[in-house]
Amino acid sequence: MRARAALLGLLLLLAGGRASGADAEVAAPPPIWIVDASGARFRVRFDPGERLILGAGAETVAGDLAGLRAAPALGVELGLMLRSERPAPGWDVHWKRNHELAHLRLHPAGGTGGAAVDGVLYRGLFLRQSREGTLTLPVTPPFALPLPFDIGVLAEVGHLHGALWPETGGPPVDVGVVHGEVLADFWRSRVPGRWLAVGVGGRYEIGLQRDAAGELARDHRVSPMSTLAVALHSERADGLAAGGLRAEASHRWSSVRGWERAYRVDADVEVTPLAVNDRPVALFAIASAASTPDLPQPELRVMVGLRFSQPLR
Amino acid sequence: MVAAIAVLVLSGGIARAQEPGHDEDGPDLTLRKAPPEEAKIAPPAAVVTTTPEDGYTGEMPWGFYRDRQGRVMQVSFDFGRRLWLGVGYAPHRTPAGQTEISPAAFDFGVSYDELSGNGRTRRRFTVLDGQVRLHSFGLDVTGFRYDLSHRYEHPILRITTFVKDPERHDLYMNIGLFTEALHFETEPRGIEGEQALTVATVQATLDLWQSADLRSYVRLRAGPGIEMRFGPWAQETRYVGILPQGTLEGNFILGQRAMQRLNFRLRGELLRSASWHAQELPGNWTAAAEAAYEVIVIAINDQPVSMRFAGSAFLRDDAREVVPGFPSAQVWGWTGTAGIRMAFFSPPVPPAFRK
Repeated sequence: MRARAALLGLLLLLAGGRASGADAEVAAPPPIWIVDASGARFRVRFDPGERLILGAGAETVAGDLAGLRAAPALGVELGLMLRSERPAPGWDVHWKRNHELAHLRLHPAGGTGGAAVDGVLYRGLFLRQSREGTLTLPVTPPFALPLPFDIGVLAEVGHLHGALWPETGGPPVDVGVVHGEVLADFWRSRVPGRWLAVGVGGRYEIGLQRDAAGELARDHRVSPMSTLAVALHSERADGLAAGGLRAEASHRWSSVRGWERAYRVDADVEVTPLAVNDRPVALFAIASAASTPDLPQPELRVMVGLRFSQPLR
Repeated sequence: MVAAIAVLVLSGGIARAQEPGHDEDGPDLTLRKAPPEEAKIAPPAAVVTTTPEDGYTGEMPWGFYRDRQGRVMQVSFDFGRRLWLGVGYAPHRTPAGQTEISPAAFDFGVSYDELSGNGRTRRRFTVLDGQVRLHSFGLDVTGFRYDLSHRYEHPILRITTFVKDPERHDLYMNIGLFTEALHFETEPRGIEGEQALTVATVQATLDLWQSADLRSYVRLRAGPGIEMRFGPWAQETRYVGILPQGTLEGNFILGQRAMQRLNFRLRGELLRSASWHAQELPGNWTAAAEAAYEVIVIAINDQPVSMRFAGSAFLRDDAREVVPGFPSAQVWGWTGTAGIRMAFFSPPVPPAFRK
């Protein structure tokens, strides 16, 4: 009994400490610019969510871990990240908005296209943060039930995976037309770039593939709010390190194969050891694994490289 | 004439050395009498204007000195602005392996330095800088040369490291320009009848060190050029590209009164055929090194006369089949020079940058 009370007390203490610590971070974020003893001014804080990125590195694609030892190829990454301002002091409700535009990875591939692409044309994450999140029951008088999470929405348009266009006898091209999720953020961090979200969503995508005769086969895939996703993302308050993990499982309908299940895991980490002319130069690693019935075998993709950023704020 | 000037120089040096209390580092601006106590404690680089004994106190222009007899003389000379003519003893070893120990050489040239108003850019113009060698005859002259040094106000790269505490490391790159046109040389491989004309070369410079007035520097420069060949070797290739020419060179103005100059140059060239249809070259590279020291020792009618000692050596890889039957890929040679130069139209070093 005493042990249980101590555990409960520790949890309360941790929860309270975390909340107050997060507020303290918002109240006093690290300085963006500092001046050293010699009077030189330089930037020491960056916003990973507000920048133009250009990266390059080695990328390898394999069916399993052993296959990753194959010779990697050069991959190039680009994208535009935009993010809402930090909330003003005394805020009550705040939307954390994160946008990714044309966040694509290009890598050489066989065929006439000569390249393959993986990425999204637009992805937006909107998390509604409330100081006093409640579930209100419209009874008389109204009854408010405290909620341990914030809510949010993920919207994605134009997810691309595969060759630039379908080629005769070539690999399929997946075009995600639209994807949406309703999220619950259990972290509720006041710091930008931090969330622990569980979401339920729907997706519509088209798989395109030309057979040996040159006929274009279309595979319409629909996930009618039957995709479950968990996403964890965090970054340092000064933006010098960031990382995330996302896993999703989808029960979807295919116009070719009928109902099926698909799984996907994405992870990324980024560390900024230096900046050149006040522009961060980061080391990054991206890994993704996918297992879907339209692939002949599970696909494992790893990219490691350098990422140059142009801060926009 | 050479002997007479040499005797004058030597006798002057001996006379000064015999004076009691003579300071090697300090100037001796008095010609006939011992200086007064005030003059001895004056800054050695300053151009001292002591009151003449006859009481005449006229305004003195910078770089000039009035002695006790009231005579005005120029005591500061700018190495960067002058027309010079010189003569010297120049033994050398030819690429064919013959050592010539009795040739004389005449050198000449015009140079003009200009410092920008903000003191951050120095432009240097040189016209007809060269040397004529007698016994045997040789000519090495550059028609026109222009280069500039610049001191940048802001670092080109600011690197911030976040490994421990954030630190900023500034990287300054003082980049300039060098260009040369119409460099003509006879018998570069030691073969009679051959000439080379470097039509033009354009190079970027990176100053590794600069003095405050940009007169002294150590720099790297590299860039392309094109050369025309005349004589026997033009039958193989008339146009040759220099891609690139790379040089490490330094120029130092020394002494408290800027009366000495030391310079050196290490140069390497990669040669390529510059014809529409690539032709084989007799070799792919050349290398050269030279160093020189010059000191102003006297002035005749305010025209400085300096002594100059120089040495140069080269190694060429483009000399295959120089001697029929004895194929040789490389030839080398050296030249030593000891002589005097008389300069004209050389103004005083501007006071803002005197040492």
